[in-house]
This record gives sequence, structure tokens and C-alpha cells, in this order.
Amino acid sequence: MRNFPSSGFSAWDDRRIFLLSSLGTAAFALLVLRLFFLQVVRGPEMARQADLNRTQILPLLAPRGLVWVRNGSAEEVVLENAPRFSVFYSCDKKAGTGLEKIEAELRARLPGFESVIRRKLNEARKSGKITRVLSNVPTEAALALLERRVFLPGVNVLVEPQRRARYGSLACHVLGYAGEVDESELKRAGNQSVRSGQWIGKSGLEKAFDGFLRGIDGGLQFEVDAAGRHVQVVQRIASVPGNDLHLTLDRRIQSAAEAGLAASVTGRGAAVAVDPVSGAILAMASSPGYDPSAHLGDYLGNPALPFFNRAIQGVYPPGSIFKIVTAAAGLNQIQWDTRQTFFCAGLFELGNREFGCWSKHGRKDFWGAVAWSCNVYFYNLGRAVGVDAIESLAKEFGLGEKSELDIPGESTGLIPGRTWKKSVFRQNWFEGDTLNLCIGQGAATVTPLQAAVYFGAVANRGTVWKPYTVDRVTGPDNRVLYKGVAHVRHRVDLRETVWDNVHRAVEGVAREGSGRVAFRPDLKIGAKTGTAQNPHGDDHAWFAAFAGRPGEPPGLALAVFVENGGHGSAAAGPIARDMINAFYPPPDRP
Amino acid sequence: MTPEIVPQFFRVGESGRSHRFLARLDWTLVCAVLALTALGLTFIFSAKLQGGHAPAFLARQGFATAVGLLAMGVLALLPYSVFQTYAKGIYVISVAALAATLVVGTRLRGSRSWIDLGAFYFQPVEVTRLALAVALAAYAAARERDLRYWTGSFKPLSLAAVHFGLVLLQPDLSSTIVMGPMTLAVLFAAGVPLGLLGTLLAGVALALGIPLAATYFSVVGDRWIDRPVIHWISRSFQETGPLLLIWTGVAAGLAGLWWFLRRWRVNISGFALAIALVVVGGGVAASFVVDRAIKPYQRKRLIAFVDPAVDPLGAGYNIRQSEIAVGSGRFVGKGFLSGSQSQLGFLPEKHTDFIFSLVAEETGFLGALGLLVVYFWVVWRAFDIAMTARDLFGRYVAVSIGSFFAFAGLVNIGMAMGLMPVTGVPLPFLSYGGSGLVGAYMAVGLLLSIHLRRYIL
Repeated sequence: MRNFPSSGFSAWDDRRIFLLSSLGTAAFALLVLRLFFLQVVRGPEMARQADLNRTQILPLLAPRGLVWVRNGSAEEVVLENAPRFSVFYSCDKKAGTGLEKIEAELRARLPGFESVIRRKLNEARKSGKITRVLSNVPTEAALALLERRVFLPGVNVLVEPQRRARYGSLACHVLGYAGEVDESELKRAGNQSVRSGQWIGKSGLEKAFDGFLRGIDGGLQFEVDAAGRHVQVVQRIASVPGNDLHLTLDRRIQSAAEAGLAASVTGRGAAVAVDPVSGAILAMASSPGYDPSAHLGDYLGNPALPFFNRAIQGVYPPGSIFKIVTAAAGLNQIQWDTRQTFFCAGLFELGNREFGCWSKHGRKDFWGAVAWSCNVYFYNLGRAVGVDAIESLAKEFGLGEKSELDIPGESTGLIPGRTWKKSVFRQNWFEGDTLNLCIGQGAATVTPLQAAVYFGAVANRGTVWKPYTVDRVTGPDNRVLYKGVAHVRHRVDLRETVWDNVHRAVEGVAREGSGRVAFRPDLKIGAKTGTAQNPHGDDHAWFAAFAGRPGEPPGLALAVFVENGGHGSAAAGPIARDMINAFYPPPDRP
Repeated sequence: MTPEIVPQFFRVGESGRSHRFLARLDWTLVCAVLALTALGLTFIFSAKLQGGHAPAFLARQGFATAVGLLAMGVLALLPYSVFQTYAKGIYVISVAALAATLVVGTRLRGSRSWIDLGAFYFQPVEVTRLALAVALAAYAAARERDLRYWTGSFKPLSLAAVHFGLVLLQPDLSSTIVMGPMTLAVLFAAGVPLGLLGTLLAGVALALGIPLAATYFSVVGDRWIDRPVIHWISRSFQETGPLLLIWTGVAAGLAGLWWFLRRWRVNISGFALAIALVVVGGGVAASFVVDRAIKPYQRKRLIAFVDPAVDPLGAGYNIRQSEIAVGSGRFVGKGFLSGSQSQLGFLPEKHTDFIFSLVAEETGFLGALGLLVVYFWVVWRAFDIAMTARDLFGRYVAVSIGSFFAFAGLVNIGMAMGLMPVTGVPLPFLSYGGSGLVGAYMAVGLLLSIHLRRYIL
């Protein structure tokens, strides 16, 4: 094997040692440069980093904006903030031990929150930051924890402003609730301003108007050591409260609606009242409800679905309240003669199929048929008008489409027609389908909100409003930051004589027909009852009405729906009557 | 001490030349190391103030300083040629000491590197690496010509390999790492062919790189789950069989390439091929030893240096906190005992591995630059002493020690500022640790002795 000597090298050659020392010098030059870069060039930034290390902010919730409703001409607060105890934990990263003991004690003292406590404590341990374990802690438990603080290192109990609903479950579905932001919401928010630990609106207006309601959280800035132990408070950062919401809801009608629904046959249902002059929602109730400041977990699993807002999310066959559409279509499109009569023997035969009526009405003219909701009459009327006119007029009334309410989560409902049937079932439209549609049965479904808006349009002779619940949002100096504006979605174009006849018909319902329960001699009241057959169970009860002082445009339109409530007049009528009485207080009887 | 030495030892004083001893002593070096030690003691106090352990730590380090000074004095007075004379014995004793550590040593923090001396633990490697430097220097000085050939380097490399192996078995990776430059510096200064050094470095790179790659792949392997080839390679690195297969393939590929190039009349000597194959074979074989020596946390640190995202809260955290500590010191520092990063506990290992960060945080750019300058002076003196040494033995010993100080300083301070991976190499003279301090002082003693006797005495 050949061997390679390093050529021309003398053992006393200094060059290699010089090279080594040069390497050493270069290394130290590099270190000096790096030192200069870190301490002088990036020094300010690093000092900031060290400060961030040194201090932690314990975020304290900002009070969310107040929510006001009307009470007649006055306004009052329904959602406010009350001081409540919150338990915080900051983990001793180095020690790490003792967490089990703390967890055990917290779980023992706060029963019912075991899984939350476990999750939050783990979060605290992982992040090393001060974490809110539980808010709205019962006072006795909070005081007990405060007493035991010495034995629970890292546990803090502080007072924070937390949401309180002054009237409990009043308008809970409209107001919604707020809670601590969860992981999926954090992800969805992306780089928006949501921080972990913050409170955000989760449903209803709390969610839809979260940007206005949410204030800017303040906090306590602590100096902490690497283990996360608090050394001292550096400063207090004041929080900025959120902006106030002023709603169009009127507590008198809202309470009447909720009380009525709660006392109804099934206790399940919805009621919506709108102002036919502007589309403002005067009441929106869904039953059963929930108390947003209570422990919401208790409501989960309730078969009556208390979180489900039946007023906008539920879709139900409209039943006979739909007949006003059919009637108006007939009067307008084919100049239907109101004097024409039909004999109702409780049955209508079409080919070999029978279509029933809920009673045997005998011979009825148009007024009698509306007043007593005779199906047979409307089968004849509907057949004469045809499906297309009914479908298009129903849609003009805003049925079967979202009504653009300022609360998210509306359902669409459905008004069937030829194209719908073709595209969904690949079938032609049959005469029988028309018969079902003209009495509000079959595939037709609407939300109670749509029904109320529809009756509002009946009341104001054709204006279909975009309903809204938020009248305005005001900032700290009462400056108006947002104004809910009346907005016309459709205008139902019928001849004035048709409107006159429609009004005469619905007033007849209230005065002497199926809607007599809501009649008041001092008011102009139009009504229509509905008893919607329901393939899944008992009939649903409907009652749609409007009311106004004689000589004035109607000031209230409403729809009441009682799920599986049976007859509209019996189950839903009294609720409607109470709502009308709440809005137009009856004159004192001597 | 043999009778032969003793008279010479006393002659210094007898003949009235003690003043010459004092005059020729490298006072700047002595002052520099004393200054560094004082700084170290001061900041060990700062580091340990919080827990209330400062007095105990200071007492131990003070005691070690005293022992170190004594050892330095003795070694400075002794003519260093005595180590050349007894190099073989010193080598054997050092190997025996390392072997004994493996047997009777105490295991602390996962390494059997310590010998229990009752009042304290002693870490033999801090002294045996000087013995290795002495042995290599003695060999190189005696076989001056042999070392210029590839074959002549075999024996000194074997001598070093025994030390490396025994320390790796403890396992003590950081001490092994600093022994590398000590060995290479002697060989380099002695004129070993550069190709050989390159070959060695390639082998070391393989030995270290394979286990690290395996760890890296095991941590982030899923990243390539949709790329079959890379995914297969990453999986293969984590198992012995496929790994050997890959490297056998690499070796075969090299041989094939060599053969094809020959056919195309590109002549590369068979020797080069043999070397390449030896590098691959040796590197892969050594990687199995290294694989057992690197602890999981060390792997993570080394990988985190390349890819901090792998372990942002663990291995990456310490580096980040150290950088913040250094940077936030800014120009004049936060003041003694006032560094928030260190006093509030964000800075890890602040009395040992990260003592530089502590000094930089509390004294700022001015203080840290001063520390660097004084430390660099020690390194510079070592190389200067090497160049003025009267014989090759002294020259090589000084070069080895100079490389040790330079490398340990670069790795430790570089680590504190995020330039180097966290390897746990302490900063000589400053980091807490008695054995290290005594070892460093002994090295300075050797330098002083070489410097004193640069002229024929």
C-alpha cells in the first residue's frame, strides 16, 4: 500500500499551530458578533420577551353589554351582569405534582363539573398559563376554596362580572347565551380577536351581536417565576364594557306569550308577534325555554328540546291559517264570487280519493267557509284557482323562505309546487296535491315567524317586512352604533277590494267564527285558526291574528303555534288573546 | 517523585533563581484564570441565591479552587518533561482510572462518571483527558516522522480510541466531544496528513449522524407518510437490519462507482476506495456505540437545534430562554442579582451549563464582552506558549490544551447564544463543578510549566 506523507512538513512548522489559533480567534470573533447581535441589535426585543416571561396576565372578563327590551313606552334591562366567583388555576410547571390533590379537592367541592375541571386543569398544566377553571361558582364553594387557599397552591378565586338574565328564561331563545370560547370556535375564528378563555355569544342575539356586546377584557398583570408561581401584582388593567342592545321586544307581550305557551296543553310551542307597520318583532317565544344563567348542561337530554327555537327553527304544516292565501288568490286571480256556496257533508271526492273536512258544515258561502274554516269550500276554491296562483301568492307572503331575521338559524320551510315536485319526486303535480296545499296540508311547512310575518302582511294590506329584533345598539356615550331599519321584502299586490274582502273575512273569524276566543268589541281584530294534521302525532294548533284600534292601522300581528295542541281555537287562541290584551290593555270593566 | 527530579526541583530555589521563576511565570495567564474563577464564584452565588444554597455551593467551589491552585502550582514547578518520561505509565493509569470508574463509579443523572470520595464526587475524565493529551504528545514527539504517514497515525488513534470508548461507555457524550479537538489538534500540529483528518471527521460524522437521523426520523417520520421513498428510508433508519442493508448498499455503490470510473480511465487509487469503505464500515460500527451513549434528551436537544419545531416546549425551550436571558441584558445588564430570566427560574442550569447567560443577563454586553476577552486571552496564551515551547512535547501538550479551552468555550458560549446545540459542555473556570475546575487549573499548570521552561533552564 502506498503511503502519503504530508509533504514538506517540519515538526517545528508554526503554520499549523497558527492556523489552529486563527480558528480559535475566528470562533471568538463569531461569539462576540453574536453577543453584539443578541444584546445590542435585538436587545430591546429580547427585553420585551423577558418581560412577557416575567409577567402573566390573568384576564378578567369585561362586562358584556346590557340588553334592553320595551315595556310599553318604557325600556328595561333583561340581560345584565352580576359579580360571580370564578376559580382560576395556574400550574406549577416544575413541581407538577400535587395536581391530583388539587383536582380531587376541586371535584369534591364542585360536584357536577368533574369533566370540565379535569380538562381545564390539564390545559393549565400544558400551557403554563393562568386558566379559568370554572366560572359562576356557587358562593359557598367559592368561600370554602378561598379558606383552603393555603393548601391549594395555584388556585385563585376571583370575582368577575357574569351574565345574569333578570327574568330567567324570558325571551331566552331570542337573547341566547354566552359562554367561554371552546376549541372548535377558536379554530373557526382563525386569527380573529378571540383568545382562549374569553367569553363569546353562543346562540341567539348574544351570538349574532357578539361583536357589539363583547367588551375588552382587562386583567391583573402578575410577576411570575418559571414555575408559574405568582410573585406580585404589577398592574391592574381595566376592562372596557360592551355596547348595549335595545330590542324591539315588548316584555308585556313576551311574558303573556311565554306564560300562555307554558300553560298550554303540551307546553311546547311558539308564538311570534310583529309590528305590521315596521316588521319589528314585539314578542318571540318558544316553549319550553331555559335560564341562560343557569347550568345549561342540566337541559341537555331534555326530550322537549329547550334549546330549540321553535319560532324560527321549527317548520310545521300551516294548516288552515294558510286558507287566507288560497282565499286571496281566488278573490284576486279569478274574481271568485263570495256569494257562491258549497255544501259540506264532511267529505270531498276527487276521483276515487276522499278529502275530509273536520266537521259537517252544511251549505256555506265564502264568509261562512272562512269563519268556520270549511275544507270542502276551500277544496272547490283551490281547484278553481289552481296551484300556480296559490304557490306564487304564498311565496309573495314570505312563506317557505327565510325571513332574514337578525337572529341566525332560521329554517326555510316549504311551499310545494309543480317544479318542486318535479325536481324532488320526478312526478307530475296532481289535483290532490292542490287540494292538500289549499288547506295548508301536504308538503307545505312554515315557521311560526313566517306565519306571523304573513299575517302582518295581511294586516297592513300587502307589505312583507324583514322582521328584526334589534332596534339599536348604543355605545358608552349613548351614541347609536347600529340601527335596525324597517325593510320591505315583498309587496303583495292585490286589488283594494280584495284586501277589503280578506279583512272582512278574517274579522268574521274573530267576531263569529272559530276565532271568537280572541274577540274584543273595542278593537278591530282579524284572526284565522288552524288545526294542522301531523303525520307524526297529534294535530298542531295554530292561531294567527292581527289587532288594531278601529280607524288606525293594526298595531300587532301574531302567530301562535302549539305543538300537538289539537284545535287551534282551543289550544292557541287563548294565548293569542292574552298577547293582544297585553298589547292593548282591555278597558276597565265597571 | 524519583530522586532524579527532586534535586532539579530544589535547584530552582537553591541557586537563588526563585526570582527568575517568578519573573518568568506567565502572570497574565494566571491573572486571567483567577479573574475567570472569581467571576464564576460570584455568579454561582447569584445563581444559587434563590434557593438559599449559595453558601454550600460557594464552599465547594471555593475548596475546588484551592485544590486547583495547589495543583496548578505543583504542575508549574514540576519540569513538564517528567510527564514525557512517564507518559506510558500516565496513560496506563488514566485508562485504569476510567475503567475503574465504570466499575466502582457512582451513577449520577444516568452516567457512571463519578467516583465517590466521601465529601464530594470526583469526575476522573476531567483529569484523564489531560493524561491523554500528554500521552499523545509524548508519542507524537517521539515518532515525529511516522506521523506524517497514514500508517503512522494508527497507534496514536488507537490510544485515543480507548479513552473515547471508555468515556462513551459511562456514557458521557459532552466530555467525549471536547476530547475530539484535543486529540485532533495534537495530530494536526504533528503533521498528520490532512486527508487522514478528513477521513476521521467523516467517520465521526457518520457515527454521530446515523443515530441522530434515526431519532429525527422517529420524531417526524409521519411527515413523509405520502412520499413512499423518503418514508421507507426514514423507517429503515430506525431498525438495525434495513439500516445495515442501506449502508452495505452505499459501500457497494462506492465500489461499483470506483470500478466504472476505472473502466472509463478515471484512475482513483485502490487506497482511496479502501479508505472510503473503512470510513463507511467504521462509521456505521461506531454509530452503534454512539447510539447507546446518547441519552434521549440529548438526541432531542441536538435535533431541536436543527429543527426547533420538533420539541418547542422541551429542548427548544432552554435555548430560547437562554437567548432571551443574554439578549435582555442589553448593553449594561440588569444588575447583579437582578436578572429576571435567571432569578425567576426561566434560565435552566444557570450555575453550570448556562452560567454565561447569567453573566450576560446581569452584566450586559460590557460584562459579557469582558468575559469573552479574558477567556480568549487564556486560549491565546495557550497557543502562544505552544509556539514558543522549547520541545515538541511541550508544544503538542499546549496545542491540545489550547484547543480544549477554545472548543469548550465555543461550544458552551455558542450554546448559550443559540449558535450551538445543547450538549452540556461546561464553561472552564466558570461553570460550577469541582473536578472541571481542578482539571482546568491542572491544564493551566502544565501551560505555565511549559512557558517557564521555554528557554533551556
